[in-house]
Amino acid sequence: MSRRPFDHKRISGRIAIILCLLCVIGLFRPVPAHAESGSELVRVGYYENEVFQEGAEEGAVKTGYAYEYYRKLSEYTGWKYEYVYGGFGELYQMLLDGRIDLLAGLAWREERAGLISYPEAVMGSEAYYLVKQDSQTDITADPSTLNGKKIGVLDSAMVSVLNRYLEEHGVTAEVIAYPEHAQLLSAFDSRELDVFAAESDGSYAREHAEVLCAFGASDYYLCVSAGRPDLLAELNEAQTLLAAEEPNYLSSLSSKYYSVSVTARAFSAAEREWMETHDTLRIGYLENYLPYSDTDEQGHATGLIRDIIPAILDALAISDISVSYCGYGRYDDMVADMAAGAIDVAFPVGGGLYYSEENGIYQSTAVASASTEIVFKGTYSEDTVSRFAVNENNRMQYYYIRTNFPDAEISFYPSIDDCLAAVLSGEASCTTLNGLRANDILKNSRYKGLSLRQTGRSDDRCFGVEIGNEGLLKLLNRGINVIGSDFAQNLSYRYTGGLYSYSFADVLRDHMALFGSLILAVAVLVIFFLVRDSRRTRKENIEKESARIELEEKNRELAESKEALSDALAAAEHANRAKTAFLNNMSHDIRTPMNAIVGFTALAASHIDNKAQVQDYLAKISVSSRHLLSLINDVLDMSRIESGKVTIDESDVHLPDVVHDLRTIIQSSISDKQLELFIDTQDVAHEDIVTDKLRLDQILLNILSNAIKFTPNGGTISFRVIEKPSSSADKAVFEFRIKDNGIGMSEAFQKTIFEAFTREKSSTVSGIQGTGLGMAITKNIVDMMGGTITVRSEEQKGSEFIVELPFRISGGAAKDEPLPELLGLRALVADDDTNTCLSVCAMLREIGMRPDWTNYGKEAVIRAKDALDSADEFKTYIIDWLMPDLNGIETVRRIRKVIGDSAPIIILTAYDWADIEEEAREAGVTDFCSKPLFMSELRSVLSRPFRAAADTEKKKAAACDFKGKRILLAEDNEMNQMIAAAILEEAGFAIEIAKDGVEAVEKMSAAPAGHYDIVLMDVQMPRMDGYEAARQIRALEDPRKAGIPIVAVTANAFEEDRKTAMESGMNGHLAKPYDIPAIMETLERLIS
Amino acid sequence: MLTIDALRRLGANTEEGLGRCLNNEAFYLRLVNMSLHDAGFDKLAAAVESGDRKAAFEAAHALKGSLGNLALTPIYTPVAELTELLRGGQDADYKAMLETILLQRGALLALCEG
Repeated sequence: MSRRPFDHKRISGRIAIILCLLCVIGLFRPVPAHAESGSELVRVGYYENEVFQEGAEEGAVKTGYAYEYYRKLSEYTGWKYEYVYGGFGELYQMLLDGRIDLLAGLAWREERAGLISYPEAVMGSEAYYLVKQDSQTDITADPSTLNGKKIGVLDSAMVSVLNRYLEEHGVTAEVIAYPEHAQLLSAFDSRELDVFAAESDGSYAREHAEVLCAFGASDYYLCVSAGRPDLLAELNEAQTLLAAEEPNYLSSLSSKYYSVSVTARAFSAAEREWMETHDTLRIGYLENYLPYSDTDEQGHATGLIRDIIPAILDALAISDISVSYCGYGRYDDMVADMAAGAIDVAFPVGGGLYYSEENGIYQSTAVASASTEIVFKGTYSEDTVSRFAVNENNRMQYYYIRTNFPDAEISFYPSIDDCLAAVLSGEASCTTLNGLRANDILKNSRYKGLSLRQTGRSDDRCFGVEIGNEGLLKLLNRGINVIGSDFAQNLSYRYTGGLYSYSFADVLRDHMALFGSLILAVAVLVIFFLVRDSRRTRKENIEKESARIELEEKNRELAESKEALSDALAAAEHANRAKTAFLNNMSHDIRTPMNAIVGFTALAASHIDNKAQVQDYLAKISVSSRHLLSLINDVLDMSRIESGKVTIDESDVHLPDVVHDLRTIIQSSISDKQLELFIDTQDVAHEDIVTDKLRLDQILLNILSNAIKFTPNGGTISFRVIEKPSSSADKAVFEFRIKDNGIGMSEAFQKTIFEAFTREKSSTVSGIQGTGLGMAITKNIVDMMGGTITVRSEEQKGSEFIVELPFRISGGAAKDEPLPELLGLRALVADDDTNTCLSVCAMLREIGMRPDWTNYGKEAVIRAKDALDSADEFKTYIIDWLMPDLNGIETVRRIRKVIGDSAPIIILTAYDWADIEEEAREAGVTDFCSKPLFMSELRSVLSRPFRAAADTEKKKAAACDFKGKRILLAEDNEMNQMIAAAILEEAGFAIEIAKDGVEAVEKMSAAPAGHYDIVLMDVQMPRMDGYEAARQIRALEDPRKAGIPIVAVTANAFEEDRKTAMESGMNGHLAKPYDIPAIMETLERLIS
Repeated sequence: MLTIDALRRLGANTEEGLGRCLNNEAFYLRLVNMSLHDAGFDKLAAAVESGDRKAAFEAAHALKGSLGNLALTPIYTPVAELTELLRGGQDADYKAMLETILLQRGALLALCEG
């Protein structure tokens, strides 16, 4: 940008005169643009420049100082703009050629004056600064350190200013001029330059930049093409009017855009000195002066003072200073302590500059600038401000009144409440309240008779610093500027709540008239009806009755259609209200964790050296972020459901996997809250179902995590899976019941719980956060899956959710035929939960055993002995790991003492048994089963010990079956080849190995048909993967080769792997690591 | 000494691994020894060091297969975890995970040499 320094004394002297003249002229002459119906098109050169003028391309949003200035001018001229984009140099040339009319940001230069037109008034002014790389410690504010350095500057007015500056200080440096701003900045960013010359308003966003010093200043103009004297005249006129009507326009525009400029964080020498010599900042504050300051019940400072000091230190990145606070009941005491050196800063101070000088203090920039309100009773007149009640402990009030109402009579009271009481009683005619306090104080019902009137003269509330303490004053001023003048205003609402209290008596009093008239109206009505009825004769009644019936009929018809209409309306309104309420809640809920994140991040930054503390903050940030993420996920989920984007993706699912997985997922939250979790099954006959596991998990998890969330520590949650009778043979109906003894829900809420955007209480009340979407999402998914969800709940007692879902049955029906070798044998179940005992016993009975059960470990031992003695011993024991009287392991140990190694003992546990396995095995445990127990698991665990012998025989028999069969094993891993070969050879196979997909296909096509009986195909292989190999084999010409059974082997038992395997034409799917029985079973099935 | 007991003490599920080798101890131990000297570990280390995620995944995946079959749990678990993260293309501290793997491998290798 090119803004030239110029001799502005000449101009500024004239401006006032011209301004007045033009003002007068303006009154008598219409503005030409307006005369031409206000739509003159003006071509403005628009170049990109940080903060000053942004959005220099077609369609980009424009912002910036210059842009706002153009808009403002248009209000006075009626101009419409056509923005012409380009670099500054290019646009300047266009201005010279008359291809554009206006160009902003030009400094005044003698030789330019003939080529382009300058208006009378400036558009703005700015200082020039030298900015260095922050790493260049050898460059300081001392100009001689610039010797030999590279200084970049925009090829503009600044060059000559810079050269003059360097010359004056006898500096020889390499000055490099860049034609465009962007080139200069990129040279600086890439550290080709040591220093660059910046306008005060640019480049503040650069982290590696540090301001050295100012080296000049310049005014700049909005220049007009020489060929457009008409526009120049309009511009002059508009600027003059602007200056007359909005005298502070330019300064407020400048503070709006350049408040945080490149210089904002460069401390002056005085400030640096103060910081170097101080490691504490002692703040004195006035008590009983909310929202500004007060002492809370714990004796800590509260109010704005508590926020603003950390905010300032933070904004200025001052972290090595400790802050102490000291409250004062009396303003005079605070000022006296400041004079005595006991505090560094007093807050708030105010009441005018004169008195602060009297008190020996500097006032900082205003922390909050609020008007002073006159509080009075009755109607306002001249007399109202004749007798003031003044709080003797708040000198600011006294100073303000002395300054602004010098003739008023003043009487002192010990507090502002006493002052207000005095006004109420007429002892004083008025008092004053600070604007931030007035409304809330007067809300108190006892001050109902008082009125407010703004004085229009604002009274700033500032920091006070002892006269002479320049460093601290400047530091505070800088801080206030950086955090922004609206900081205090924005936070004050937090503290004004404490200024008034609203009791039930207030409610009654406030609504006395309403209550009274209601009672009266009811009484009148009652009397009216009594009188009317007594007068009405029976005859009249009959006549009227028939007319009435007819009328009612018509009315009913009308009412019905009206009702339908209003139902629709109500539904729409309800949805709308719910969404609004939801947005309100959500914005609160999102803000809460977000605030925590922002807050703790700031705290972490300020305690960066304290590792433990930072870790603690990070943990808190992490919790909040995760919470926030879950909120966002819920919202997204809901909107996907609402827009119909969610589909149910069904596949084969093993129900026990679902249940065990859920337990694993919630286990940690269960133990965190010390809850008890019971999971059991009832009548489950079909364990293999077809459903969308992801969605089923989501439904159950939503309900379970709600149960966890709303059940206080130590509570109980039970989760029961029940298979219900089904009307169709290929369908199974399951009921999932999740019950807790938590806080429950009101009856009203139970009715709306499944609607979107509802929640029993907002999180502020319940203390529990959530979107209110979880149950709506759940309900939607249940609906999509063709099921139902219901809830029963009682407040403070708990809730029970019942989800009923129909599933298709996959694979064969669960094997419920008895296990022959167990038929008629006795089994003992010991578990402290009776439901578990009953359900396990039911399963055992189905297998064909004769089960017994007990709730106690000790009893189990006695029964074992008893059974042995009566020669009808138990052939299987199923023992719960955790029982109150005797734990499972100990129970097993004692049973083993009685029965020796004669029967298998199975431990039933809800937990991962890896940790206890060794001890348990030593105690004599044969096997483990996880809770809840499913039939398939029970069968598998029971067949193991009993069928071991039978199995080996069977296996041998099976192995013989494979004699003479040839298998093609496609597997790239040598070790796996060896293991697989060993297993398969043992089973009688002849084996040929292909080390990738390509080789497998080659071998397949080269060998005669029927050479191989089956292919075992690893999926992940180099060159060609198993899927592709399978597809190519399937595409072979010889139908016998193409039809060979192929079994996929993948490292994952993921459903999608199985699917892909099937899709690529394979017949089966085996998981790695190898499961020998599964391999044999699959091979047997496919070969025979 | 590389023995079944020593492997079990280090957390390997020898019962499962042996089962897969038809309870042939010598065969099992030979495979364990081979798998621990697998060049795949060096490939994995090189790929993780150079940030080549594709190569790292392939190496990890191959190792996962053989270690899983031998049920060398202490080393299988971190390898499996690494494989899944790489499969998902997630950002993670792969170097730290690699260290864990190499540490476990070192412990097992010590058996072979001791």
